[in-house]
Amino acid sequence: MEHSLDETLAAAGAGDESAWRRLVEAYTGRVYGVIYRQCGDAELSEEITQTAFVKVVAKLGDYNETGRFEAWLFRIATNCLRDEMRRRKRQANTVDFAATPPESIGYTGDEAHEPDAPLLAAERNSRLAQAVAELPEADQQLLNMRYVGELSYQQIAEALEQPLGTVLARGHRALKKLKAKLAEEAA
Amino acid sequence: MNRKDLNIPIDDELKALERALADELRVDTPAGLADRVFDATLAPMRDELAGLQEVEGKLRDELAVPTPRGLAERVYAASVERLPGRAEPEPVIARIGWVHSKAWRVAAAVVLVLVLAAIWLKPNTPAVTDDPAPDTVAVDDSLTEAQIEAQLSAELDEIAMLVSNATYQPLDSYNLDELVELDALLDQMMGETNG
Repeated sequence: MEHSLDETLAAAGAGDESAWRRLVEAYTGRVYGVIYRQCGDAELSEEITQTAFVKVVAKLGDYNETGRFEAWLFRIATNCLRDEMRRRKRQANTVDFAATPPESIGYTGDEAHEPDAPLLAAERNSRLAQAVAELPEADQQLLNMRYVGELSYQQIAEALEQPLGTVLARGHRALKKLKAKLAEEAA
Repeated sequence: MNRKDLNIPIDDELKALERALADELRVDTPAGLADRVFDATLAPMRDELAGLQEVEGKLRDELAVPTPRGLAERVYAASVERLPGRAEPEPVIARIGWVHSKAWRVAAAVVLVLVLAAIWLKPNTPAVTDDPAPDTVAVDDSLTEAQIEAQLSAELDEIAMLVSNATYQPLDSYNLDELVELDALLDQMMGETNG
């Protein structure tokens, strides 16, 4: 982004549509990726991404950038997903999204319409993706934010509203678990 | 002999003793020991860190999620209308330059007032129907009294012509005295005939 984040946020908050477009283009892919990694449903991920940005834009006028925009954006997005999951659980009560690995839910077999479906299908079968899916949900969320959402640990801590030390320790443990799993399979 | 006899200050004595002990007990640190200790303790951490970095690299590559085509545009379209402070779209009519002219606004206001006044002052007129009631006679209020009289006179003439079935002679061409005489004559003729 050529403009600084501060400037872009201030301009968007004042009604500058081009500034808002830059923000949307800069963060849509990252937000979508994190949400998709958590729910495994492309359609729902797109819906949640749109909802999150609509919520953010509605509050942008009152937002003062203090280096926490990304954490704020991702917190809103993950909260949107959590609320939607709860709503679906109440309505359907059929699939436990929180406890089910992402690749086992969400896909209805009609992924052919997705242009990137082959790539997604291939990576879902990767050893690493499977190993990640075997981690506790909280660890998965953290790793997704870190490596899909490209957030710093500080931003993750703010997004999850947890102490930085806790997030760092959990991230470190998760990486060690993954490394051990990969070493076992390679041996 | 005591300390006072030797005239040695106690502080100086202690400091001398301390120096002697230090000389005796000094152990020279082997050159580079600190570096070796540092490396020895850090190496496992470096290995672990390298391993974790390798995992991190794979995570970035393998967990990357392709963004659906056009998603950013759809997100933008869905959200931009709620952008705070966004200027409302200008009404189409307001984009026409002359509307902004004060003279045109005044002219438009005057025309509007005139139209409203005309509508308000317009007299009520009976509704025109395709099938008016046969007994109603349309009266045109705009006719003058003389015109109405002329119209009625013409209609009476027409009636008289039809009744008499005779040669048409305008009614107003008769003299009233002549009519009286004709009437008397007719009575007389009828009496003679009956008598």
